[in-house]
Amino acid sequence: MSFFSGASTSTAVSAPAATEKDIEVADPPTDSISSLAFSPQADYLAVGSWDNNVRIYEVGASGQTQGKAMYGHQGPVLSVCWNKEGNKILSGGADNAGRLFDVTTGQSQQVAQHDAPIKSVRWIETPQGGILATGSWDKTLKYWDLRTPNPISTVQLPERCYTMDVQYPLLVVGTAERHIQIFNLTNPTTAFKSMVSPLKWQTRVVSCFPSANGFAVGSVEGRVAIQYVEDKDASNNFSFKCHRRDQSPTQKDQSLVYAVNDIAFHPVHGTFSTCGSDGTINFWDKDARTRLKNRTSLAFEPAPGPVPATAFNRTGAIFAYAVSYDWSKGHSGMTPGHPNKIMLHACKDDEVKRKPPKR
Amino acid sequence: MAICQFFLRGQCRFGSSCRNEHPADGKVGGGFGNQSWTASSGAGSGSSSTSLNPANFFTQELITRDLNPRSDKPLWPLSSYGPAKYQPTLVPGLDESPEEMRVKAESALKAGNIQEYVTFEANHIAAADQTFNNARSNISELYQQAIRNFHSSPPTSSGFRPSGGSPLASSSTSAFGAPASTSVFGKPSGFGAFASSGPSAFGGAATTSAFGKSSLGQPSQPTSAFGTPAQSTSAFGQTSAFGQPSSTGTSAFGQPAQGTSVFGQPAQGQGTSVFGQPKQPTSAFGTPAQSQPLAFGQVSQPTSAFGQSAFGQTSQPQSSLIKPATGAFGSAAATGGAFSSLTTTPVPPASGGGFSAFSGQPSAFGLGAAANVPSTIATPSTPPSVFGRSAFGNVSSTTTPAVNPPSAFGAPSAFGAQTQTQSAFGAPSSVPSSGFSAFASNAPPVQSAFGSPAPQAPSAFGAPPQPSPAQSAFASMQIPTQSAFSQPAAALAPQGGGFASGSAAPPKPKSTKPEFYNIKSPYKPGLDKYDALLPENYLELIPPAARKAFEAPKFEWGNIPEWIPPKELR
Repeated sequence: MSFFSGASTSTAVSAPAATEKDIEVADPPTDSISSLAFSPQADYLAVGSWDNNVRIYEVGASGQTQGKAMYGHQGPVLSVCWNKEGNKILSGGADNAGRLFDVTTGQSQQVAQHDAPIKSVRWIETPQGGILATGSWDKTLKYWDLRTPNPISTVQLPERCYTMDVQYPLLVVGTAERHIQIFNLTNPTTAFKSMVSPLKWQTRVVSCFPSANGFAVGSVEGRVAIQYVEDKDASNNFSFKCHRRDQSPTQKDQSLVYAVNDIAFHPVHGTFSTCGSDGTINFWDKDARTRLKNRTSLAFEPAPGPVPATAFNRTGAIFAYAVSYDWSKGHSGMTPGHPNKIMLHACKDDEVKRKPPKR
Repeated sequence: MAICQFFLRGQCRFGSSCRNEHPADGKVGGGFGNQSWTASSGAGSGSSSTSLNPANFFTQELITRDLNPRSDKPLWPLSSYGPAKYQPTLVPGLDESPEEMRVKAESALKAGNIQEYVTFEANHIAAADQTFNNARSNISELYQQAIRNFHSSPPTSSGFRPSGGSPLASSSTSAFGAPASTSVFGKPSGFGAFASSGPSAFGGAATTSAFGKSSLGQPSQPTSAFGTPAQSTSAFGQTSAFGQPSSTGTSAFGQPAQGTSVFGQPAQGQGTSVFGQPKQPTSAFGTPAQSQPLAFGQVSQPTSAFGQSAFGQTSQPQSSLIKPATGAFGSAAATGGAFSSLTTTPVPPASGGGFSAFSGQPSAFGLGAAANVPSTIATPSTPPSVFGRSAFGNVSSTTTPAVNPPSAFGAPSAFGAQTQTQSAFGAPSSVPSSGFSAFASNAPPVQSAFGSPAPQAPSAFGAPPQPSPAQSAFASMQIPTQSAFSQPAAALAPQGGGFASGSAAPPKPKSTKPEFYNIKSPYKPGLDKYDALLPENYLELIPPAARKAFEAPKFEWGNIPEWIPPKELR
């Protein structure tokens, strides 16, 4: 899900050895994973989970992982992100609190507070300094300067915040009842534009283009919409179906409609991945409007469970995805034997590179 | 999805695995046929003035499919629904994200009463399912509401809506499509208003209807929601009626919940809303699927209202309106029904014009092709089939000369039912009898075709394009519809128009019944190659009852023989 386009990708961190199989992260959380985030400076992966903890792993050159640190919330963690320097981790959870974890000191503290669970946290790097944005089910979006206990400002949302993404200066919030609010961070307290989702059903995820001129919206109906912010680009808006399955091999009706849980943009190529409750992951090129080659390890067999979160590392060489129950079937889907893991995939060029224009 | 053109022709080789849409009925622009009157019928026939045709964004069938768990409904049950991109939420209040549910579960687990959560979850899901079941069973109302929403907040290309909301290109007609209910037309007043003056009915008195209010609220719309400037293609896609700023929007369309949306096109300045929809709190239509008794006070009127008003308007000078009408009325039988109902109502002359307006629209009546029909009436402008019989009756008399709603053919119902056939007569060729098949083979439809009660439909056809003006109408029809009637039976072939004539000789006020028995049979020996195939002694072969029927000057209602008429008796 969230990933910070690596501004400094100079350090050529070699991706994990190009193996066919994906590497499983050692020592995963004990309960479902809610979000993943790579550090923008190094190959560290922060994982937020329903077991109330945030774990930090170091990913080695050949894909081996090592748990480095862990800190907890009072409730399930719903979102994690890094700051620009890669020395702080911010997370928000169902305990209505946003916490900051300092990697250097290993200490965590609370830095944000809402009236309802915080669904989404994002770090904004403004010219004036860094600001934490938190979106919550209490229908507000709050901006925090970490030095003060009170928010810099609060923005009212039309409904509960379900998802949020930032690509300076673009900030997009997706709320319940299919509202979408777009903010220009030069004027962060007023919505730049307010619109109804281009999709017909509940918004599940929004993710900004690395170029910050648009965003992708994923919904529960197995569909993704590419939306440009400027009206002049509006002709490039489109949507496509994905993550749907046939009811049965004979009935090709694509009537099993799964939710799109997460969308992650490749920091370099601008292509993006989608993952769904059906356990599949696909890579897409929005400009060529095609799907890129299937992930071989997942193309034919979907993952053994839903994929609730994905993330690219800062170079785009590593693609991390979590396999765990996303509650898409309610309580009854929570079976004890459900898989719960994080996988790392070394991205091959043809999976993530853009398709060259044919004509 | 696009409507499968092959399927419409009965030639789709993919069948159920086809990637295009196979409309349930065979109407042209099926998806739209029932719901949207817009001439453009989503298929892009193009009359819809702009892309703000709701039919271009969603149709009733699309909504049906979306809500169907076996096709497009998502597996996650707790979600709100909107009909198309950027459209406001149609089924609101249901949104619960999986995370929210899970958080509740976690806290219940911690508190030790997980069972409470389980029941909570089950209840929520059941409630959501219930809502969607309701939605599925009231699709038409939902659709109407969607139309209204559409007009109250017309989509812009980028989806960002200026406060004003762009003019909704009227296409909303769908509102009309759904109702199919009793015609509002019954109300002369309402329509009369329209027919006479632009602003009339809808804009004026009607006010009662929410639309009146809301519609005004609609900003801009200079071009009138209908997308057409001034003339506006009328909500139905026809500029007229609704396009007219004055258009009464309110009334006729008062139809509960629906209709108004179609007209919702506020643009018209008058906004009188009827169409005004949702914006205005008052607007009846604001309430989801709530039928607001519209000006007409008749809830169910929907179809008629439109028929009336729209047409009433059309009759106006805006001849241009006539044409587009087809689209609007194309919407399935409903419209036809609307008109049918009209016939009953006195329909003041003015309203007659309304019909005339329709006549242009033949499509409205389900002809679909209507556009072509026009010629039948032989009147200069008159658009084809207004099937609304009454339309003819009234139309011809009133208003605008241009519109001679020839097609009215009165048998609105008949046609409504038929729909399939493009031919005005809609009668499927079931009738074995030669030529008559055109008339809808069954007696009743035949009747309708002619609008005139005369059951002897066949005779009507039999009658060659008699000099009677009515006949001429048909004779003049060169439109394809003629061919419909022309029927294989050559006998009629030349006369194909005969039906046209049947349709209440346009020049005469509707009351005329074609004098069929005076019409000479067009039969000429040797013209029809099938005739030669009849056995020589066919006359003797047919049962006496049938023979007697043939020999009588008129067929008895319900007693039309199903044998090929003997040559001698034609």
